[in-house]
Amino acid sequence: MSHLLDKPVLKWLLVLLVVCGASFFASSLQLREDAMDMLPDAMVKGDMAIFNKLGLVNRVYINVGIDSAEPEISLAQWGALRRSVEKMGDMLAREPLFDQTSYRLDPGYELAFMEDIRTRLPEMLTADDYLVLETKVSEEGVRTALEGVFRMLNSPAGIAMAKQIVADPLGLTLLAAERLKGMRGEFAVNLRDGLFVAEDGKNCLIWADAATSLTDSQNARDVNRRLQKIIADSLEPGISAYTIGTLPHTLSNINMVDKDLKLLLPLATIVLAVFLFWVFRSMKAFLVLFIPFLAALPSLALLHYIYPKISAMALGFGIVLTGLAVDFAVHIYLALTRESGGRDAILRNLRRPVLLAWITTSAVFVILLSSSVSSHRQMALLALFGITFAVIFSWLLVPTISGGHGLRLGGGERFFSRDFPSGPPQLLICAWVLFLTAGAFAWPHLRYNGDMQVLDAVNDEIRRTDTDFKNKWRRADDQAFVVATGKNLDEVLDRNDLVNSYLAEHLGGVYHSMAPMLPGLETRLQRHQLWNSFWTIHRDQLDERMRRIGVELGFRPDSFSPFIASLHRDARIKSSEELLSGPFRSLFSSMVRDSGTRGPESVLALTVVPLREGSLPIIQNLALKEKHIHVISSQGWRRDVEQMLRSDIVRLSFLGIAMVCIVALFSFRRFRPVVAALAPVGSALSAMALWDFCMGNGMNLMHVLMGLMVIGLAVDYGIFSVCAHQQGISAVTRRAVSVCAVSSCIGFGVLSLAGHPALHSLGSTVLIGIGLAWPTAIWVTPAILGKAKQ
Amino acid sequence: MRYKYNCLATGHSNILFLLTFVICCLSSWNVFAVSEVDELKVFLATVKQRVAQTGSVSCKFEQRRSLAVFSKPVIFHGRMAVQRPDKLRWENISPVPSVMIFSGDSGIRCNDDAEPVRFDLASDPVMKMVAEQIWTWADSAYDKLRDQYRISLTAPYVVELVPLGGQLAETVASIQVTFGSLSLQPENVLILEKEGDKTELRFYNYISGRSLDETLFTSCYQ
Repeated sequence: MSHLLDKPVLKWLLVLLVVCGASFFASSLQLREDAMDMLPDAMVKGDMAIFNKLGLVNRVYINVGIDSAEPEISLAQWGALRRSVEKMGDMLAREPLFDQTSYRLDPGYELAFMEDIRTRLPEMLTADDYLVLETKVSEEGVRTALEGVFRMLNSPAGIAMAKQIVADPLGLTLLAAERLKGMRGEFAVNLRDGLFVAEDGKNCLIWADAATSLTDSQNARDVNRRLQKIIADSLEPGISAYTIGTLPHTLSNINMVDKDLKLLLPLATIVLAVFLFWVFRSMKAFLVLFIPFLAALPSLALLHYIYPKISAMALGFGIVLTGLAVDFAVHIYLALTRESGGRDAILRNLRRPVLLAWITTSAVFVILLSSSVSSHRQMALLALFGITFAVIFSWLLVPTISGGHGLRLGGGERFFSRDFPSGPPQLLICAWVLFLTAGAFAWPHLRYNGDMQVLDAVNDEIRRTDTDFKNKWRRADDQAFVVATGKNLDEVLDRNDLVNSYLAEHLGGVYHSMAPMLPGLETRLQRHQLWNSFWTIHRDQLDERMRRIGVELGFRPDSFSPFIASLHRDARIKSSEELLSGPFRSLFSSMVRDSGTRGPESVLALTVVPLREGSLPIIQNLALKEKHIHVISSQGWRRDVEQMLRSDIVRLSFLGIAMVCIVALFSFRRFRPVVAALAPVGSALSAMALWDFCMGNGMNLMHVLMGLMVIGLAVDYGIFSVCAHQQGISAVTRRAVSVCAVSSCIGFGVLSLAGHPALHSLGSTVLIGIGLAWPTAIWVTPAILGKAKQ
Repeated sequence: MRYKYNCLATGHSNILFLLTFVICCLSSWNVFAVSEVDELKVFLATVKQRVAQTGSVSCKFEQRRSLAVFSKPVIFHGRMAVQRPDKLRWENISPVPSVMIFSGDSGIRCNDDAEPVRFDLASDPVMKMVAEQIWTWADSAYDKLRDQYRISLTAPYVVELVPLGGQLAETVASIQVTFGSLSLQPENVLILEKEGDKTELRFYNYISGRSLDETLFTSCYQ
C-alpha cells in the first residue's frame, strides 16, 4: 500500500476520489444565515425564545405618515392617510408571509367596548371599586346619578348614547374603563376612526408578525420584497411609510456585508495573486496554494454529517480558517524546492514542525468547540477538519509537484531571503520585552464590549427612523418586558395577576398590563364573591331608590329595570377564553400569546414597564422568586449576553494560550526554545492589546475570536522558526514564514477596510496580530535561540 | 276564425297598450328619478353656497325629547353657535343648564354644578360620535355625508338622511331636516330612533354672518 502511494498519480487519484465523494455528500448541505447563531445557547433558548414566542423578534412596525409641516392635518389629508393605512393593513392581513396584522380596531368599537366592559364588570371591579360603589348606591349618589342621566339624555350626547346611558345609569362601566389606561403597551397610541394614531395626529401605526424568522437573511429579503410592494401599492400621494424592528437591521447588515465582500474579496484576490506571482514566478506554486483548498469539500461533508444545517457565518469563517492551511503547503513546497539534502531527508525534517504546528492550530480550534455559541462550534469543527485534511493533502500532493530542486528564486523570494539589518540580538530582545511590557500595561485597561449592537451595521437612515419612531410613539428609552408563562391560559393569567400586584406594590402604576382587563381565574373567583355579596345587600334597595327618585325626576318607574336585572347575583364566571375574545381581541393579541406548542411555558402574557433608575433590580427580584416569570430588558439582556460571552471568551482565551504553551513546552522541553516559539504569540497579543488601547474602541466578540486564531497562526511561525533554526535552514523558513504572514495580512487585512463593524474588527485584529508576529518570528525568535543548535 | 282574429287583434292591442304604458311609466319614472336627484343636487348646492357665505351662525332652539324612559316628553330650551369650519357651542339653558363646546379635535362640557370637563375627540370615541351627530344637521355640509347616509329630498326644503350602516344605523332610523325657504337654515330637525324614541328640534332667531365672541368656544360660562 505504501509502495502504491509512492506513485504521484495514485496520490492525486486518491485525493480527488475523496474530494468527489465528499462533494456528493456535501451537495445536500443546508445553509442558514441567522443572527441568532451569534448568541450564546442559553440566550437563544432563554430570553430570545420568549421574545420569539411573543412575536416581538419577528414583528415589523410600519409608521405610515403624512408629509405636512402644518400642526394639524385637514380632513382630506386624514382621508388619504386613512385609506392608505386601511389598504396596507388589508393587504398585509391577506399576505401569507405574515401571521397576524394589527392596524385598526373593529368598526363600531366605541360602543362595543363599553358594551363589552359592562359584561365584564363582575370580573373587573376590585375591592376599591366597591368602596366607590357604596357611595353611588346611596340615596344621594342615586339622585346625583339620575340627575346626570336626565341631563345627558337631553343633551346631544343623549341622542347617540341613550341606550348606553340608560343601561348603566350609575356609570359602573366608566369605573371599569379606567383600566384601559393600563393597556397602552409599548407605545402612546390614540384612536381615530379605529386606527392607531400618534399624538401628532399625522402618523398611523401598523404592526405585523412575520411567519418566518426575520433574523434569517433570506427570510428578511423575501419579507422585505413583499412588504415594499405592498407599501408601494397602498400609499396615496403625499403619504409615506417606513419600517422599524428586526427587519431593517437584518437587511442593513446583509447589504453592508454584501457590499464589503463584493469590493474587498476581488481586491484581496488580485493583491494576493500579484504578491504570490511576484514571490514565486511559477505556476506550480499556484497549484501548491490550491491544494489546501481541496480540503474544503471533505470537511464540509463531515460537518454536514454532524450538523444537518450549518450557519452561513460558520461556513464562511470556517473556510477562511481552512485557508490558514496554505501555510503548511508553502512550508513544504519551499523546503522541497529550496533546500538541499534529498527529498526524503527534507520530508523527515519537516515532519516534526508540520506535526507540531498542526497540533497547536488544531488545539486552538478544539478549545473553541467548547464555546457556548453554536456558530463558533461549527466554525471550529469546520476549521479543524479543514486544517487536518489540508495538512494530509499537502503532505501527499505537494511533493509530487515540487520536483526541480534549485528553481530560480522569484523577486519576492529574493527580497524575503535578504538579511535585513536587525541590530544586535540583545537589543532586539530588549525591544521585544519592552513591547511585551507595554502590552501587559495595556491589557488590564482593555474594555470588553459584549454588546452585540457594536457589531450591528446600521446606516444613518435606520438611525434616523428609529429615533423618529421613538419620538412619535413615545416609546420609552429603556423598558423591561415582564413575561408570565404557563401551560394554559388560566395558569398564565393567574401568574400575570401576580406580576400585576407585585408591580403595583413596588412600582406604583407606571407600567402597562392587561391584568385588570384579563384577571386570572383565582382573582375572578374572588371578585365574583365581592360582586355577589355586594349586590345581595344593595340590589333591592337600589331598585327601590331608582324607581322612587327616577319618577321624581320625570322617568317611568321601570325605566332602569334592565339595569337592575343586570346586577344579578350568582353571575356566571367567564372563562379565560371568553375574556380574551370580543372587541378587545386585537389589543390583547399583542400582549397575550399562545405559542402553539405544548409545554410548561407555551402561553405567555406580557407586561411592559418603562424603566426608571433602580427599578430593574426590583422587577428582577420577582423573576428570582417565581421561575415561570421572566424579565427581559435591553439593559439586562445586553448585560447578560455580555457576561456570558465574556466568560466564554475569557475561558477560551485562557485555555487557548495554556494549550499552546503546553504543546510548546512538551515539544521543545527547554526554556529558550519554548520562549522562542511563543515569542510571536506574545507579540501578537501585545500588539492587539496596544492597538485596542490606543484606539479606545474596546474589544468585541470579533476581536476575541480572531485573537484566538492569531494565537494559532503566530505559534506556527514560532514553531517553524525554532525548528528551522535547530536544523540550520533558517533562510528558507524565513522566506516561508514571510510569505505566509504577508499573504494572511493581505487576505484578512483587506477586511479592515470594510464598512461592516464585524468584518472591520476581524480584519484589523488579524492585520495587527500577524503584522507583529511575523517580524518576531523571523528576528526575535532566532535572537532568543542565539547560536545554540539542538 | 274571424272572431279569433279579432280576439287576437284585441289581445295584441291590449298587449301593445300595456307595453306602451309600461315603457312610458318607466321612462317617466326614470325622468322623474333623474329630476329628483338633480333637484337634490341643486338644493344641496344652494345650501352649500349659503353655508359658504355665512361664516358664523347663532340661534335659539327648542328641543322636545320623547323617550320611552320618560314619563312624558321633555322640553329643553337653549342656544347654539357655530363658527365654521370647526367650532360649535350647544347650550341648554332651561330647565337644566349645561354646555357642550367642540373646537377642532377637542372640546369642553359643563354642568352647572361641576367643574368643566375637557375632552379630546381623538381619544374619546363617545364624544367624537356626539360631535359627528351634531355637525350632521348643524353644518348642512351633506356632500361629505354621502358615504354614511342615504340622502333624499322628501318635500321642498325637506332633506331626509337615513344611516347606511355602522353603529349609528343601530339606533337612528332617520333624520329629517327642514330648511327655511328664505333663510335656507335648518329650522326643524326630527330624529327618529329605531325603538320608537324621537327628538324634535326647532331652531329660530337665526343671526348669521356676524362675528361671534371667541370666548363662546373657549369657556362654558361668560
